[in-house]
Amino acid sequence: MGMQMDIGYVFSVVITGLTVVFLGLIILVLFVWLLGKIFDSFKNNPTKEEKVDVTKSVQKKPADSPVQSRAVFDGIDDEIAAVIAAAVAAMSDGDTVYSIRSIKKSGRHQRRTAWGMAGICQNTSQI
Amino acid sequence: MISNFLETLKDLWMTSGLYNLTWQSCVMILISFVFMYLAIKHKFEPLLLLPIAFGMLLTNLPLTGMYHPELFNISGGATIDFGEVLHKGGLLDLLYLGVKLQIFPPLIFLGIGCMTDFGPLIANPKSFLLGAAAQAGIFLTFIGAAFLGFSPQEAGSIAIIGGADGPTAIYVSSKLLAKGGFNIDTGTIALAAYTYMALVPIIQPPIMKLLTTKKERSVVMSQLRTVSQTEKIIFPIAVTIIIALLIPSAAPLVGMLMLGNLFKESGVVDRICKTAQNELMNIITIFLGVSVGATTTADKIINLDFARVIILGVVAFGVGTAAGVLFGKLMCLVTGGKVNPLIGSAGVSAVPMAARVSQKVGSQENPTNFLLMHAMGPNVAGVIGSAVAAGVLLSIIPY
Repeated sequence: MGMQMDIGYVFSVVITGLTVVFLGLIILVLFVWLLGKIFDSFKNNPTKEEKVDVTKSVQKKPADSPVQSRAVFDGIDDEIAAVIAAAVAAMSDGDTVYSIRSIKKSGRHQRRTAWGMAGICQNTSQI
Repeated sequence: MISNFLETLKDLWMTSGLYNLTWQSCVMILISFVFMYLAIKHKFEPLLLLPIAFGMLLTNLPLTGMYHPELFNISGGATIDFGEVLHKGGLLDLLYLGVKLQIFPPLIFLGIGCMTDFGPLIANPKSFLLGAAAQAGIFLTFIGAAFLGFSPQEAGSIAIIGGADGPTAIYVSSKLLAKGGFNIDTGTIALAAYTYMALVPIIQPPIMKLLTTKKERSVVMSQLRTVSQTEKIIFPIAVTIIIALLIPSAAPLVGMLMLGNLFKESGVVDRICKTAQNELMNIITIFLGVSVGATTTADKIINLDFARVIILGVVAFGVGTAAGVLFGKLMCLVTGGKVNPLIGSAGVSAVPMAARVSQKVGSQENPTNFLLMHAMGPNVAGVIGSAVAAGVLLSIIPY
């Protein structure tokens, strides 16, 4: 069966297609990278007012309460909270220290996260 | 009176399906049984393969009147007579309008967007490049299709199978093949696409192991950074604007994907989000599957061109996987061993199956290596990449 298309046309489609796809996604890479940098800079450089607030609240704390930040376990059994904390600690690479700020029960119809989807797939499909 | 009775019986017999059954219809009915078996027993993409298979059965049972290919087989610059479709069409003719008018695939993408978490991709934007690399399968298959004598529109429709994305394959093929007069159609493309998507766990691992060393497969990647909710909200809006400005023909697919994702990430339209990913998605899946299956008539399947489509389809998948893995190896080299090349294979947009395959192959070398979330980045990037590639094909190839 002979070719219906000119070979030059074929390769021009391929090269143009690959170039445009890569170009489009490289632009997205740069945008997302920039977005990440901007948000990281907000996290690392709090404003003066925020710094002052933190200082004030730290100064207040000893007078108000002897206990510092306390994780909120909203209706969660202590044993469940301990298991969750152990799982988080197990995922730690040893250098990063995680602190759990709150554990809440999810709603009945919570949207599934990627982990949830992956877990469902792992348990329900056969490979 | 007896002669009238016999005459009536004879007329009834001649208008029955049994009398009008041909050997081609019988072969197609048997093929539909095979696909139903694969969908039910082996769970090969059952949500779409089962309705497609049953649509194939319905259309190949003679004289059912559910689908009339002649209403959609146009050529020579003619257009579909939609009035005739409404007056003379059966149920599947009317449902097929959703495919012909490119309505169903973008709506499926809306549901997919509601179910997709782009967090791993935002946390590691380099994954976009792996999603782009895997689309090489599409364009290299275009070369193969051209050498086998297919027209540009047919070659583009076959090549998009390499994107491993059913709705995208249906969207592109329904546009490129709209004018009719081709040896293949949307039904054959969809059948090939969904069959190969189900075969991802079989096709990919040998290619991944062939192209990587044990050391490379054992690479442990560092934990992904936390992505803020604001980033997740900005992401779909920005992607829509950037891609639509660059490749407007990709806007229907990418735009609906990102709309669904914005529904999910905004957190303020929970009802709509739940509807889009459940009821709407299920309804569209049924309509799309059955109507696309109905287009798989004997004349489109029992020919050499369908065999060529099947062979090119597996080539497209294999080349896409290989391209993703090879680019992953390049990234591993450039980053000094920080990227596991196995996640490159997840750049084909079979979400989340391709990511699970990366996890499985990686865990065979190192059981404590959790690649799943790292592989989800290229996996969802592949969805965007295949939609962009679809837009490029639609922009370059005339239809």
